[in-house]
Amino acid sequence: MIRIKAQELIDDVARAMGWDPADLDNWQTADIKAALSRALDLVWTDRTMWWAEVMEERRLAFADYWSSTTAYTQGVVVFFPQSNSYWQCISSVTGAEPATYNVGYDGWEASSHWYQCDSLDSATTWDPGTDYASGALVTFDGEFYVANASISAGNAPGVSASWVKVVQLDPVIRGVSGGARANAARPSIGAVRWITDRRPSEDAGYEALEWMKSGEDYRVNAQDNMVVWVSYRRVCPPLVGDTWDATKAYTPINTRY
Amino acid sequence: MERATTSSQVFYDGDFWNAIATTTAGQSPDTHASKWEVVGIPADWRRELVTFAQAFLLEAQGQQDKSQAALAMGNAYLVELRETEAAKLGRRPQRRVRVP
Repeated sequence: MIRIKAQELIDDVARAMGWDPADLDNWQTADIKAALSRALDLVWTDRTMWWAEVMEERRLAFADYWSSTTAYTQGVVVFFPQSNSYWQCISSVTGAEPATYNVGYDGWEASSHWYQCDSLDSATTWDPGTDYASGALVTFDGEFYVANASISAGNAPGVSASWVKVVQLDPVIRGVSGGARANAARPSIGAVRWITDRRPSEDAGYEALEWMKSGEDYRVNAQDNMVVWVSYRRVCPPLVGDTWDATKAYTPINTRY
Repeated sequence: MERATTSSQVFYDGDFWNAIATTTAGQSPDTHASKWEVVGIPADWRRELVTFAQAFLLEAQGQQDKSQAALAMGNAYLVELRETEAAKLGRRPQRRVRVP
C-alpha cells in the first residue's frame, strides 16, 4: 500500500474548512481526527468493494501452531505442520513434539503427551471389565477419552484421572477473542471474502469452501483440508490517538489492524 | 471486538501508531519500533477522505446544505475510485468461483 501521512490529511481537511493548518486549536484537531476516522471507516468498509489495499490473504490453521517453547496443559489443541495434523495435549509438557516420524512404520508416532484429534474413529465403548493400556481410546457418556497411563479394570472415565477427555477437531478460524491476543501474528479479520483450499492469487485451481460466521469466529466446512486460505478485509483502525506522551505507558489491544 | 483508544494509539511524527506491545514511559515509535505499528491510510483515498471528513464537520456545525453538497461530492469521488479499483483488478488474471 502506498500510504499517506495522516498529518497531510488533517492539513487538507483544515484548509477545506477554511482553517489555518498551522494554527489549529485542540478542539479543531480533535474534531478533524474524529471526522477523518468516520470517513476512513466509510470508505474502508464500503460493502460494494474489496479494496486491495486493505485485504489480506493468509494460510490459517484451526489452532495455534505447535511451539517448542510453549508450556502445554491438558486439553490444548495445536497444529503440527510436519505431520499436517492436529494434536491435543493429554498431559502437561513443554518441548516434546506431538509426533515423530517413524521410518520403519512409515507414519507418525504420537508422543505420550499428545493425541491426534482426527483419529477418534477407532474408539471403543468403555468396558468396566477391561484393563486399558496407555493410549487406549474409549467412548463414555458420549465423550471420547484416552488413557495417559495404564488403567486397571473398573476405573471409569471421569473417575480415574488417567482418562483424559479428547475432542474432535473444531474447524474454526478464530477472529478476535477476549483475553489473549488471538491474532498476534496477523491482522484481525474484519470481513471474510472467501475461504479456499489453495491460495487464490497464485493457484488458479482453488476451490471456495463453505463457511459461516459464529460470533467473531468463522466455522469452515473444511472437508479434508487441514489448513485453509482466508481472504479477508482487515479491521478498519479508528483514528483516536493523542500526541505521544513521553511520560505515559501504552497497552496493546486484542484487535490487530 | 476491542477498538483502539488513547491508551493504545498515539499520534506521532504525523502518523497514527498502534501499540502492539506494552510500552513504558519514553518508548516512542522511533526508539522502540518493534512495539508500534503505523496506521496505513491508502494514498489513493485522499480526495474521498478529505471530502467526507469536511462533510461530517459541516454537519456537526449545523451547515446542512454545505454538508450535503460535500457528501454528494464525496460519493461522486467514491464512484470514480471504485471504477479505478475495478479497472486495476480487471488487469489481473481472475477466476470465477462460487462464493458461499
